Amino acid sequence: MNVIFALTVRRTWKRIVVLATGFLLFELVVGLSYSSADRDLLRKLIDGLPPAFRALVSASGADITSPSGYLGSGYFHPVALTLQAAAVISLAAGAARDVEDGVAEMILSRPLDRWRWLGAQGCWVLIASGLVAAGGTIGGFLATRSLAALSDVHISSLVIVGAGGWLLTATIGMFALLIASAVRTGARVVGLVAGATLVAYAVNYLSVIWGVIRPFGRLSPFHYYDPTRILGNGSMPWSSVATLLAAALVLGLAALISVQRREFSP
Amino acid sequence: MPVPSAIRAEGLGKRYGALDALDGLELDVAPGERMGLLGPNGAGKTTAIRLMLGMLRPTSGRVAIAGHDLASDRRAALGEVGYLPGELGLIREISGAHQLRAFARLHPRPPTEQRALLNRFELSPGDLARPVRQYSRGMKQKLGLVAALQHDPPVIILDEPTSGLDPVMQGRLIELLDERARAGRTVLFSSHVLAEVEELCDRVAMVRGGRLLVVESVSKLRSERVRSVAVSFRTPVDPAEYAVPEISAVHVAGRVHRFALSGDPSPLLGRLANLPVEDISIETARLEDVFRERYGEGAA
Repeated sequence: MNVIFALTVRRTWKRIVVLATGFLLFELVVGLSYSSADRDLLRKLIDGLPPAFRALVSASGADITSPSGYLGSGYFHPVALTLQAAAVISLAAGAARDVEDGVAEMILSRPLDRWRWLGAQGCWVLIASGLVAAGGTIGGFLATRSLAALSDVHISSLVIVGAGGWLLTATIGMFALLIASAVRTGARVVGLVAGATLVAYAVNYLSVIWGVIRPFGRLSPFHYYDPTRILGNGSMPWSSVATLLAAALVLGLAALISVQRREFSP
Repeated sequence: MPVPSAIRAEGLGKRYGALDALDGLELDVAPGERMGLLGPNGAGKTTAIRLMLGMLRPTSGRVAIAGHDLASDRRAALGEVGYLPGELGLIREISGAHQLRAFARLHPRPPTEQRALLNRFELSPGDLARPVRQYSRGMKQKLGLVAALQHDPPVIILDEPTSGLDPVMQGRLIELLDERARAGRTVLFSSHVLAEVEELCDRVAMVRGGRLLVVESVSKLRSERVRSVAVSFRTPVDPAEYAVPEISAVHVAGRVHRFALSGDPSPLLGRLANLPVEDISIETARLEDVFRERYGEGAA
């Protein structure tokens, strides 16, 4: 398992460094841009927006003109979510790509359990998503250290936002791993998981603005991650932590069971 | 206690919907034997090999490698095997040296033959330091062969191993496999190059449309083949003087007799030895001819 883990890290660490750095810079820029924001004008602008637009920046309706709200909105921004999702989806798709390219056949003709092969890649998905999330946390932290207006945002809250983001992307990553354990091509994993992630994001968004959809909001992992609220309260609800953790665990276990049953031919 | 077969497939089958990719394959490869797996494209050779390695789950039947049942004792079974896939998959981003080390660590047997194989296939440290994406097709194939054989595995399974190799390297591989077989290792390999199967193998298994046509020794297959014979006599000879059951369709033109010979030529040669033979030509029995007879023209 260590060998597969080392091979996977060796192949993909540069991609993770780039994404983590990108997330760091993005959150730093978002944070620093707070100095140029006219809060009154911003509040008037947001208040004047229809609820559907307001829900795009904060599902919980937190005040995004506040330092924590403004910084928190950066972690729920589509760019931030895309950076994190890209890391886990591309890594998990690697397992299916290895089947497609014949690499899996070369490896699994050795006396190695299939679940160990996929498990090693799953471990790297979890660690890599943590590293990317840490990039965003560091970016936010650097912004709070650089800008006096953000100095009230405590590092511990940023760490919790990072942990929440990690749980969210870990869930997406384990879902991607489950898909990768069953399909033949990496492109199919990327397509299916990206599509499912967009649908989950849309369900969460629509559940905020449309009563008919509200009961379905809980089916989306995005429902359990609200960075503006975490930064405002300094904590993440345990129910949300437990839900995302349980979902990631169940999906990861399902992937390990699924790969034992699959066939390997390019 | 009897020595278990190196590879034993019993009623091995694989079905995809209505298509029988492999149907009831019975194959018993003895330790130290060199077995060739022959068949046209889509015959089921690669399916059979993947079933033997547990890459595919059989619809029916079972496989055992060196006495280890693949379904219940997969790790022990694969611990005996060195395998080169027909569609070789190497990690493009990583150097050859790193991949060889990784593949070595994934096998319970130490890579005792690695250095010798690298020398034999002329893979230098400089080559190995480069990422595999910079390798030619032949270099990838050589790296795959080293990865498969570096542990000196008791059971060697190779799917189209000479593909992409230049003639010199093809010769070295055949020579290497011959050495390994003489040292008691079992070799099973599929190939389209009948000459190399003929050169190396003791027996061949021919498959077509997912079914096993025949498993037979190369020498017996060759001897069974109908060959053309032409004999020139110094004086007129009655065909009855050399008639043996193995000949047929005798055509006499003057002192030249032409006929078809099937099976062992020894009885015929024994009869001819007592006759005034001026010249004789017996068409060489090649495995390729047997293959073409069984599969039809263009099969190879």
